[in-house]
This record gives sequence, C-alpha cells and structure tokens, in this order.
Amino acid sequence: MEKDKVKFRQFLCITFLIAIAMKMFMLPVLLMRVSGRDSFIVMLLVLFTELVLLAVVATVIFLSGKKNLYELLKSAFGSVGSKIIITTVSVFYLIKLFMSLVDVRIFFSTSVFGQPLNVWHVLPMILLVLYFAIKPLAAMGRLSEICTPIVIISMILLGCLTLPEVEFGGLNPLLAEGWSKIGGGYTTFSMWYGDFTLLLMLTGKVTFGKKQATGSGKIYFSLISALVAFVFLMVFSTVLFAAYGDMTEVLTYGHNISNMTQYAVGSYKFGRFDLIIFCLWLTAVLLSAGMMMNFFAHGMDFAFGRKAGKGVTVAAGIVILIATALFTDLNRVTEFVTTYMWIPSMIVQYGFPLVCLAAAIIAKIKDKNIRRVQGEAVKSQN
Amino acid sequence: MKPLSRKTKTRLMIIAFALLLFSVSLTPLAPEAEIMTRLMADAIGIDVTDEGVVVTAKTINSGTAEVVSGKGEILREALQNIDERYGRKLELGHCGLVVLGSDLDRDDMVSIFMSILSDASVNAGCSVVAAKEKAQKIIEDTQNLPESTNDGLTGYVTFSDERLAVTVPSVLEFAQALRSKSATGILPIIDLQKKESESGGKGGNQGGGESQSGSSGQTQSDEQSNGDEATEIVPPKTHRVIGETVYDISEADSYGLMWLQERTKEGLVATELEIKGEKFTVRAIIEKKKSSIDAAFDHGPSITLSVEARLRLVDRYAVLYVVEQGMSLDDVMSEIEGSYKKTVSDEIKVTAEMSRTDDFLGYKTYLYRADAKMYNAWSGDLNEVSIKYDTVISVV
Amino acid sequence: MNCHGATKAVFQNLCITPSQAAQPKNVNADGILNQMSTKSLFAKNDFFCCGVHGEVLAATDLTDSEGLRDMIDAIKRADGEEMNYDILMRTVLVPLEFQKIDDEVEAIKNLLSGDALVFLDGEEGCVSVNMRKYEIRTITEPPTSGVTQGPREGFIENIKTNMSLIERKLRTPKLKIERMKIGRHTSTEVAVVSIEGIADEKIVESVIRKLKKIDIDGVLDSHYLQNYVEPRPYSIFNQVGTCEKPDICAAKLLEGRVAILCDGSPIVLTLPFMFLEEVQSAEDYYQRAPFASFLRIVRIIATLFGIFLPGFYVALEIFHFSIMPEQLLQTIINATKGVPLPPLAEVLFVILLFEIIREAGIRMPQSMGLAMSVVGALVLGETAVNAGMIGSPAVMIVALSSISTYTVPDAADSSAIMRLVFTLIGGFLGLYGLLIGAVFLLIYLVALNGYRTPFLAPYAPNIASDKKDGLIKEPLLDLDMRPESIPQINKRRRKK
Repeated sequence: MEKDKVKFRQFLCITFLIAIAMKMFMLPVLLMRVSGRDSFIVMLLVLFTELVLLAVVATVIFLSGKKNLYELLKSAFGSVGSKIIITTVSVFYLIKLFMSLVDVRIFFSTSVFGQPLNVWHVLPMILLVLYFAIKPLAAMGRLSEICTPIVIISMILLGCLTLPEVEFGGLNPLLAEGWSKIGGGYTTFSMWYGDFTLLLMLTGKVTFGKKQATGSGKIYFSLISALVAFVFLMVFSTVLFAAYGDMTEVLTYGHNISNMTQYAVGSYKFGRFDLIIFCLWLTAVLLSAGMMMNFFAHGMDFAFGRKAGKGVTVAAGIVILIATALFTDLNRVTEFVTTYMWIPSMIVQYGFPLVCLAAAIIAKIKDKNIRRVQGEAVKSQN
Repeated sequence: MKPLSRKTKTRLMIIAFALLLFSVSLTPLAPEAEIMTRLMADAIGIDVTDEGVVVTAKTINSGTAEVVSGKGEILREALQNIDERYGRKLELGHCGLVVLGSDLDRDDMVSIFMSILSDASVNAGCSVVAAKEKAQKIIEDTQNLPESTNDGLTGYVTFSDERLAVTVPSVLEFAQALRSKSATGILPIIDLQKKESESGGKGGNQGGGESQSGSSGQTQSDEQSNGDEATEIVPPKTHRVIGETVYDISEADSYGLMWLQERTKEGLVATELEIKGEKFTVRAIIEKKKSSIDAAFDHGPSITLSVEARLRLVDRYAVLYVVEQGMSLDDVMSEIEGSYKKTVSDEIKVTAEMSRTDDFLGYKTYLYRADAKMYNAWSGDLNEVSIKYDTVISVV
Repeated sequence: MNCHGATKAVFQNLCITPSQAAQPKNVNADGILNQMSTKSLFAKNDFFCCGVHGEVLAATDLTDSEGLRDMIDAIKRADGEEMNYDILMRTVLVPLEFQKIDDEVEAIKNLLSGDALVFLDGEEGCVSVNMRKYEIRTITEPPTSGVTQGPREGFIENIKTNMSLIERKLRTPKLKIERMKIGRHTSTEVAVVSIEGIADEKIVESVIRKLKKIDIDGVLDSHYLQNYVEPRPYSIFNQVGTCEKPDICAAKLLEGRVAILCDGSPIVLTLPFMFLEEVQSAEDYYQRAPFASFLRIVRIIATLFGIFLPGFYVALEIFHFSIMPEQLLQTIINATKGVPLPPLAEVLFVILLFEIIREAGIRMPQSMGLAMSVVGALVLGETAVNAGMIGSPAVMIVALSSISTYTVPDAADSSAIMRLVFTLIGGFLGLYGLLIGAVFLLIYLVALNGYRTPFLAPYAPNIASDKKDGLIKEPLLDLDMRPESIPQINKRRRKK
C-alpha cells in the first residue's frame, strides 16, 4: 500500500468524521450555558465558518500539488520559520487532544459509568492515540472508511427513534434578546471548532484514482461531506436547544448531549441502547484524537528529526497522562480552556490555514518562475 | 545461558500481564456486579410534609416487589436516606413513573424536577402523574393490584398515554411547562381504590411473593391471602393544574384538554341529538385527530385553537333506526356531524376559558414564541387574549 | 530438482560440507550405501546386461518390490552388443519415469524418496527410476470443509495425488509449478503453484525466494512453512489462506493467488490472503447468490458475537445495567442471584470449562467420547447452574459465543484469543474498554498488508468492484473481473 497517502474517498470520510467529532458531546451543552436557545444561531455561524475554513484547507491541498505540508512551509518560510510554525501548531494540537480526551472522559463518567474515570482508565486511550501516531496515514484513511458507515447508521437510527417525539417549537423565539448572546457563544468555545485545520496534514497526500493527481478540483467535494455531517449535528443539537431553551441553569459542565436529551424516551422499558449508539459515534472522536497525535508526532519528527521526535512524542503521551492525574476537576479544566485558551485557539485554527494558503501561493509562484526560467534557458540553448 | 531476544521478552511480558489480569479477575479485586448493590425502582412517589420531602419507591428485585421510603429536607437527602436505610443504592434509571402528591406546589415541583434533570438520574422520558392525595399511598397500594393490570401502575400509565384519551407528560415535558412563560403544568390524576373481594383469594394469585422469572409485574403480597382487599386503578379522567395555585379540574372540564392535546389520538366520544322529537346518544371513536394552538399578535394577542377530527360511529344501529323513520342517511350524518361539532366546540371552549386563569394550555408560551418583542411589550393579562376556535369534525 | 549450481543451503540440508560438494564424487552404490546409518533399510541387487555388470539400489520400505523385480528382469532380458545409460533409458526404461543423475547428493535424495538407483559399471552417475510405493489415505471429504452441495474431494498427504487433483481442475498449459525440497532431515517436497499470465510474477518469485531461504531440520506439515511466508509471523491472525479442497484451491489460483503444496500435509497454503476469505465458503459458489449472501452475513455476525458477546455481557452486568431493558435486567438478576463468583470470574470460568470440554472432546478416545460429552454438558453445565455455582446467562452467552466462532473455523483460533482479551477488557473497563479495544484491533487490521493485499479489503480500503464477491455475493454472471485487491496481471476473467 502507499503508506503515506490517503485516497480521495477516504479523505471525504475523514472530513465527515472530523466535522462531527469534537462538536457532538459537550459543545451544544456548553453553548447553551452561554447563549441559551440562541445557541442555534451560534451553531449555524460556527458551522458556516467551519465550511469557509474547509474551503481554505481544500484550496491549500489543491494548490500544493505533490508537496506535503512541511515542504510547502519550508519553501515559503525557510527551515527555521517552518519548524517554529509546525512546533507551535503541534503543541496546540496536543492541548486540543487533551481537551478531546477530557470530553470523552466526561461522557463516560456521567453518562455511561455514572462515576468518575480515574487516570488508569485514561491510560488505554492515551496508548490508543500513541498507537495512531505510529501508524501510516493509509491506516487512518482505511479506518475512516469503516467508521463512517457505522457512524451514519447510528445517527440515522438515533434520529428515527427520537425525532418524532421532539417539539421543535421550543426553539422559538430566537434572538429574543437580540444578538448580545451570540458573540460570547461564538468566541468562548473556539477550542471545539477549527477541526478542519487538522486536514492540512494531508496536504500532498491525497490521491485521486490510479492517475495520481494531487491538486484535483475534486477536493472541494469535501465541502458536501462536511455539510452532511453538519446537518446531522444541527438536528441533534437543535433537539437539545428546543428541549432546554427555558432551563439552561439545569445544565452543567458535566452534561452532554446524550444524557440531557429525549434520547432516553421510553428507555426505561427498552434500555439505554442510545448509549451504545453514542459509543459507536465516539469512534469519530477517537479517530480525530488519533489524527491530532499523528500530526504532533510528525511535526516533532520534522522539527527535531526522527529519533528525537519519537522521544518527544512518547514524552508528550506521558505528560498527558500526568496532566490527567493532576487535573481531576474537569469542570475547572473546561473553564480554564474557555477563559484563557479561546484567543490562541482562534489564532492557530483560523490563522494556520491562511499561513499555509500563503505558503501554497508563494510556492506556486516560485514553481512557475522556475519553470519559466528553465523554459527560457532551454529556448536560448536551442 | 543465552539471553532472551527482545521479541520473546515482549511476548513473555504480555502473557504474564494477561495471566495477572486473569488471576485478579478471580479475586475480590475484580469488579463486583453493581447490579446486586442496587434497588431497581419501578416507580417513585414524592410528597412534601412538614418534615420535608418524602420519597416512596416501588422496587423490583428478583421478581419481588417491595416498597421503600426515605425522608429528607430536599429530594437528594430523601434519596440518600433510602440508601442508608436499606444498605443499597436506589437506582432510578429504570424508573418509569413519578407520582407527585397533592401537597406539592409549583415551587416544590420546580426544584424537584430541576434536581432530577440536572442529576440525570431519572431519564427524561419518565412519565409524571399526580396522586389524588398522597403519592406514598398510591405507591404502597400498587402492591395489591391484580395481575390482570398491565404490568403494574407504570405499565398502566404508559398504556393510558398511548391508548386512552390521556396525555401523560414526561419529566422533561413537565419541567418545560413549569419553566416556560406560562409557568403552568397539568397532570392527570391517578387514584387507586379498594376492590371488594368475594373470597380471600379473589383478585389475584396467591403466590408467596415470588413472580415468574423475567416479570417485573405485580405480585401479591402475603397479606392478600390474609384477606386484604385488592386495589384497582381509577382511570385518570381528572387533571391537576399546577400554576400559581394548585387545583383539580373535573372530568367534564377535562374533555377539551383531550381535544387540544396533540398526543391524544384515541378515545370514545358521545353526543346527544334530537331528531323528530326523539333523543339519541350517539357514540363514536376518534379515528384521526389533529390539533394545534397558534398564536399571533394581530391587533393584540390572539390564540387560535384548531381541532380537526374524524370520528367513526359505533352506534350504527341508531343511525339505521332513524333512517328507517324516513330521514335520509346524508341528513342524519349531517345532523350527527353538526351535533359533534357543537359538543366538541363547547368542550374546547370550557377548557380554553379556564386556561385564562391558570395558563395550563400555554397561551403565554405560544405568544412568546410567536413574537418575543410584542410579548415583552404586552401586559401579560390573559383576559386580553382573543381566542378563536376552528373545529372541523367529520363523521364516518 | 536440478542440482547443477546448487547453493550452499542445499548442501547443508544434506549435512554435506561445501568442500565436499565442490568436488563431484563418483556416484556408486557402495559409496552411497556406506553413508546410510541403517544399511538394512536398503537392498542392493546385482545384474548383468549385455555383458555389463550393474547394480540396483533401493529402499525396501519405500519402493514397489514387484515393480522393481519387473524392472530388473527387463534389464536382464535386454539384448544388444553394448549397454550404457543412453541405451538403457532409450530401450528398457522407456515406460518408466526416470532421470539421469550425476550428483551423489541428488542421488541420495531420490533414493530416500523411494526411487531406485540403477548403476552400470564403467558409466558415470546413475539413473533414478520412480519406484515409489507407500500407503496413502483415500480421497475423502475434509472434516473442516463440509458442504451440502459441491465437490467433496479433499487433499491428502501425498503431494503427487494433490497435484493430480489440481491438474484435473486446471487443464491449462499455463499452470506453473516450481518444486523444491525443504528440510535437512526430511527433504520434504514442496511445490509452488500459480497460473502464468494471471498471478503476479513478483509475488510468485517472492514466495519462492522465501521458501528457498528456509533452513530447517524438517518440514512435517504445510504450517511449518506458513511462518516463513507470511508478513507478520508473530501476529495471532492468519495471513495465509488454507484450503483442503482442490476446487477451492483452483478457484483461488484463478483469482491470481499462489498455492503452496507440501508433501505430508493435506492443507494447501494460498497467498495473498484477505480476511474476507475466511467468511467465504466454497458452498457459496454452488448455491444461489442471495442465500450465499445471507450466510456470509450470518457468519460475520457470528464472528462478532463470538469475539464480543462475553465481554459485552460482562460489561453490562458490572457497569452498564441501565443499558439493559428492565425485563431482561430482572431476568439476569434472578438468574445470577446467589452466584458466588463476580461476573468476570464467572464468565472466565465458564469459558475455561468450555475450552476444557472442547479440547477433551478432540483428544479423548472415541469409545469414551459420547459418555464424557454427556458428563461435560450435563454435569458441568446443568448441574453447576442448578447448584448455583454459575449462572445460566453466563453459560448461554459463552455457549453461543463458542459455537459462533466455529461458523468460521479458520478464524476460530484468533477468535478464541480475542474473546478472552475482550472479556477481560469488558470486565475491567466496561463499554469504554471494549470501544478502545475494538478501535485498537481495527487499526491493527487495517494496517495489515501482505503481498500488496490489504487484509480488510475490499472494505478498507474500499474497492467497489471487489464488493461484488464480498459480504453480499452477486451471481457468477456478474463476476467478470478478478479481485482488484490481489495483484495480478490479467484482471478480466471473461468477456462481458
């Protein structure tokens, strides 16, 4: 197999899974605490911004041709500059990875186990993401192909079981207090957005059939894939917004979309099988976390060389484990992240694609110039 | 001795780890079945007394039903009290019914439901009903329900919601109603009455308290065989309004509620009509029903109550009798339809007017959803609301 | 095997040093006989033919004594003025399978395989004549590949018979067979079979190269070779296909695979391998497609049951009883009331019981088999449940899981280990652990490749055309292309 490449179809699957991964558990509840039922508007704005971000990422992939991310940045910003950028972004993704593990931990603690998970429970998850880090991109692409139908079927099943019971009228009235709540909701939780920036690690690595042509316009079909994911996400989030629009004080950091919605309707008789469905949905989060670790690992390899990079990756895993042991109050962690990390998060997740876009354009211009010069040289020789 | 290769060492470590886990699983270090440390609650009743909150739970374990109770200043404390008294944690995840005593007011209920929802201990879809008097009595009397009752009180309530003309709100729906702009909820009232038994054994089996495996249904306590009367459920025809004041509305006043609640799809309805001097009571079942409440601010707040229903006659012989008297079938059906329309409209009007006092139909909520700005500018006096009726009845 | 230019490895197989091999010895019967530790196993007969003295050397237990006698008589009866190997081969040995050998090493190998060596005085080398005759099993239906429809022949331990079974299925001049002998003390005959023009040459060469590199005491079964040819020999998952039936083998060869036959083993190895092959059965191609699809889906569900069900049950009982419906919950509470062991220990104990019963059932003498099965099932199972030692749900779950793993017998070994692993995970970490474990397993499997064939093809990576013969099987009319997952030269089976 071409270990370092993903097929176009796999790229679409990864886009779909990343689109929903970090947004489906805690984000709707967190938004409601700040924006109430206007979280619906906030969510729409967020998803629109995400689509724009994806378009930028797709353009970078389109323009880069066969160059990978590191080559692109190196050619535009030089060796030192590119290493600084990659290291910064990699460290950010390590923090984001920690947050996604926190989300998973909270979900299992509150909804599935009913008691907090300790550090020994988190260890398998850390081992899993480290395992992802050593696996080639093709493995992740293939995993996404298996997980995507499972996630889609589970969402359709959940929707069929729960949506007929929902009173969507509870979503009204939107913007009853004007736009005052929208800004807060949009910015505070930026750590949970900007997931598509991760797709930049696939720059130069997407193949389009046997006639390899990285840089095909087909890459923009990923917008449709993301749109489908967002439709699912909006529907399930809207259920929460409609149901709890008048009762936001009931929601705390520990809650998530699973245990607060009407997914449990009738479940005293039939059991909480929606939790099993949510666990299937969770594979998207694990894939996303794995990709973050993979990004970090490759970033460290690029910045420090292969051997040292491996050591840094392992050390990072240990740091996450220690952090898990130290930071047991997950509400505080979430609060810290929402209070202090939202600006750096926006800068990295929205700024980095623009930096890469600039690099891609610079590289394209440079290539053109080189080809022109070479062409002129050949002409003058003749 | 030749040192072991890295691969062999790794494999030995994995095998040793697996064996360790295997041996740990056979020791007390292995997790116990949490199932055994829980009391599975099937239904809970909540009362408020001078001493605080009293929680009574009907639990089912190994096929045996038992009633447990606990007291505390708040709901959490009362539940904790049960854990302490019985040495097992009360598990509410499978609870299908919450019964609220008559002594609870709106504020009590709001704090109880906010607590329940924030803990997510009771699932959001659990049914809520009101007890005629004490919820504790209801829960205790369910022990004596006959086996013919569908799966106990919980099953009966679910059945009522699906098949009888009663809308039983869920925990989430009721909490939404209390927290909405209307700040009023409405609950069907459940009561149990003694059933006279002809002999010591009538009304149920004489089992010694053990039911068949797999059944979570009712069992007869040993007291049954000693002569205690069996109980039966009084069908929930009346309702309790929980708003600024708490009061019950009669069966007759509840008819309109049946028409206006979207979830009630079935029921038997009767109307009286007079044809050629003869009075007839005609009955029909609801075959299809659609209802909606629409709000708008057109020259002031207005509410439109729309009901569209198709009824199927059950008293066809009465119709045929009248046809035999010389009236045409079309005329008879038209008379019947007209009569039903009047009956239904009257019933709806009664309920709609009652709702002006305590907004259990949710006028304010609908108005707020329709136009928040206009709502905020409005005085909030429900007497200013103009109510329009749109009733379409067809009889087949 | 042609020994000209033989490698050092070949000489080592015969415990001959390279220095000895460098100087070709004069092949003679006495010289060969002196090298044998047990001379009584061999018989040397002298004869005169056309005035020339000669000798026949053969292993008494491996040769057809009547045929040998007939051959010697025929040699003696030969008339002519002179006699040499050419004349012998052209006039006397014509109806027989023979081979001129100049190398002592090869001569010994052939002698030990059951050939008779004919020596003529004054001539160099000898003639090896196929006189092999040893008891072989009749061709019967293999026990692990039973079908209700379709051929019932199976391979046996004799490579020649197996080869003939394949040749009867594939009557094509393109059938390519590469033979070799592997094993220092067994010289086991191994054949690598492929179809020229279909199988990828690189894969064929790679397999042959790996087999030739093998330096081992002896090869007693094809599974000895398995570890040498599969990409990850330490994995618990099969990465080499096996078959016991010539029709399956022929079908795999026609898809572009390479088959490895081993003398002494009825199991033929095929490469490259995909997990989907374990779910497929030969019978699928002899039945109607919808039913075959149904059965494949049942098999995959059964495999998943087999691996995950005990772990899932344990996780639910310990941590997540809220997931269970109320009625089921009460049933389980009733059934497990009073069981002294924690759920994890209970299930592991039942798994252990089943494995003991299964293993004993295979090993015990047939005369005791029925009685002991009754003991196992009734005493251990029912009595233990009635005594309250174990719960009936645990017995039911483990029984269902055990039976489920055998719907795909080739994957039963890895399924059994996975089942244990996931039971432990479920018992300690619940649904969370099962999810993490499942993702770990998936990652491992999607990254598993052998001979440029992904293990989970055609689902990961997605290969749409191959899905026609995936979990859902389409009728043969629609299967006009060979699987793209397997590298081959010629993709098209037939014209559209």
